[in-house]
Amino acid sequence: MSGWNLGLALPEWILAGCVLAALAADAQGRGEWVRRFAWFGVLAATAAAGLQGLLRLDTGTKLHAFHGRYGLDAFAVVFKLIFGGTSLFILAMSGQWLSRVDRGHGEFRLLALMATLGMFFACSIEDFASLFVSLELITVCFYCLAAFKRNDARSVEAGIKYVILGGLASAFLLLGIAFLYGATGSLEIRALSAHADDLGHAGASLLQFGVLLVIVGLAFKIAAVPFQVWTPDVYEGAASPVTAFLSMGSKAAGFVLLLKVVRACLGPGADAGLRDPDAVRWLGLVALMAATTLLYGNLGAMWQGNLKRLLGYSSIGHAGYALMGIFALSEAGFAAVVYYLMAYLFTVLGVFAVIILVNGATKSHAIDDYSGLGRRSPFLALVLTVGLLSLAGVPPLGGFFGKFLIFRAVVDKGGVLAYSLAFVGAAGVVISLYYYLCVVKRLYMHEPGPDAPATIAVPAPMKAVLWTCLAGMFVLGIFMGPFVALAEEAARALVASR
Amino acid sequence: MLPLLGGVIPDNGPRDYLPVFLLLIVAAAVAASQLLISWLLGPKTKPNPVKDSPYECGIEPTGEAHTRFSVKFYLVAVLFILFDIEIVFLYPWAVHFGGGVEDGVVFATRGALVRFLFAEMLVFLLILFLGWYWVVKKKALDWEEA
Repeated sequence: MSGWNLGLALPEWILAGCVLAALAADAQGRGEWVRRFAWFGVLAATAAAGLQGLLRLDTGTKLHAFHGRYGLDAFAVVFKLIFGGTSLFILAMSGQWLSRVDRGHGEFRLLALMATLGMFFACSIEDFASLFVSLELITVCFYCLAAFKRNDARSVEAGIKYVILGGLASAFLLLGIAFLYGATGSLEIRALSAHADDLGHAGASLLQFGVLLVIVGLAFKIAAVPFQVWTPDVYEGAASPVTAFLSMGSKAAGFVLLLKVVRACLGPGADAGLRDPDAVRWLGLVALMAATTLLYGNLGAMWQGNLKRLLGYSSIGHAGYALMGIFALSEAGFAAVVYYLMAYLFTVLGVFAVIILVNGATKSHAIDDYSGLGRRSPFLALVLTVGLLSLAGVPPLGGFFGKFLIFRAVVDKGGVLAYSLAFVGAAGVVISLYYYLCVVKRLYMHEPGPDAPATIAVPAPMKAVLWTCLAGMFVLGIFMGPFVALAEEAARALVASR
Repeated sequence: MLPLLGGVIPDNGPRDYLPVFLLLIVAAAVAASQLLISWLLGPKTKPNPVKDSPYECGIEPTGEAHTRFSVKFYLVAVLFILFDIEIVFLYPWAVHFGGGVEDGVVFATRGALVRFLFAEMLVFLLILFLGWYWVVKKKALDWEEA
């Protein structure tokens, strides 16, 4: 655990170097070079993370760098691949959208690259100071990105709402970290794990309060009730590529950190497995949060006439499902969360790719303007339909299998609480089918409006994104074997790390 | 601290914070008593427009208090905070660079540690200057530019 071991952080070094290089290039006004550095940085860092996973990690090993402040295990590698994939999709999707914006091309890619660096760090953090820094690196970039269309009142409103509420959440998180430092005398997440036995005792209020506040700070990032109010407004106001990045990257980063903190709350015991779940007092709180989150998201989405707003509410609902996986507090539950996020990656980015293209032609996000898309642009309508069905969880798509794993983990847990939560989750799925299918109905069974554009042109990078997402949704729903193995490997590494 | 109250506050309670609570009570009492005394002793006149107008050094108020001013002030303020906070990091580094005192023993930093600390600060400053270069190049500090 001692030693610098600097080479271990190779993906982060690559990203950090590219950030600095892109910054210098942007200062010189060479947008073309910013684009190259961004692409190279994300591609090389993702490849480096993948190679590290293949070459340096055996099953169940964890390597440390920076004197134990940085850890690399299968969990970190899998999430780095998810984040790398997300950023590649975002870079590919933003090209066409940026050509419609007159300024700030360099800044957009620069901020996306920096946010990616933060996400990569978030996978490997081992102490609360790094947790805070990596989370802020991500969030500050998203503050700027949300307000990116600075002449658009909606976008500025989104940015300001996100900045104020995000700042508040960061304050909660910091206060929680301070309480935990006071209770354990150390900033290491490992130290929290050593004190986990006290979490259930009445005397350890400092520790309990600290964990609660940290979870509040992270619940804001994943948009869990009651810290979700910013989501629909920010999703609607921010530019579509930013919303896509926010709904996948920022949410997954919140889950990475939440998983790490929840794992530490379960205490050490790598060999004995996880502790008796009945001893975990705060489980009821997680169940309540999951149930209200998924009900709020799905019920709120029913009334939306704006597709991006609908997806904002649906993203709250999906945070609820993923929280169900955390509620299970088992290796299977954690693996289900990882798999769910993998499937969500292809699904939600595919949907947003269609939204960017349609918005480019109609300048609108209203669901009414999607009428008859199936006749005008059959391929786009197909991707949107498959994406929405995958979000709803219809077999044989990735979203279905992710939900299946989560429900199985919850039901396997047993007990009244778990069964009730699974029931609420099932009700949520039924509700979500209604509003997703309403959109699908509009695509195929409504006449297009009189001023609807005929066929929407799809540029080559977008075509690649759409096909990859379509393929990803089907592969994750049908040939899920290797991906389930990957998710289980990540969950095993998470459980084994103490 | 405060042995007289030792029996009142349980041993596992936050006894060390007791002075803070006492201070809070005293502060509230002082503020309340001043309001009360001025209300009791002061002349009671009915409010009128002249009395309600804001006090501007005895000169008649002109214009709105809420005037619009350039958003550039905001940018400059944010940049100031950023660089100011980054400069703060130099101080603990400078204090510990030459050595320090540990367990009453004075020691000097030497060898590999000096080189490491120096390189660390060079990297930090490089990033800082790159940010500053970007700010200057983006004309964020040009007041005249539209």
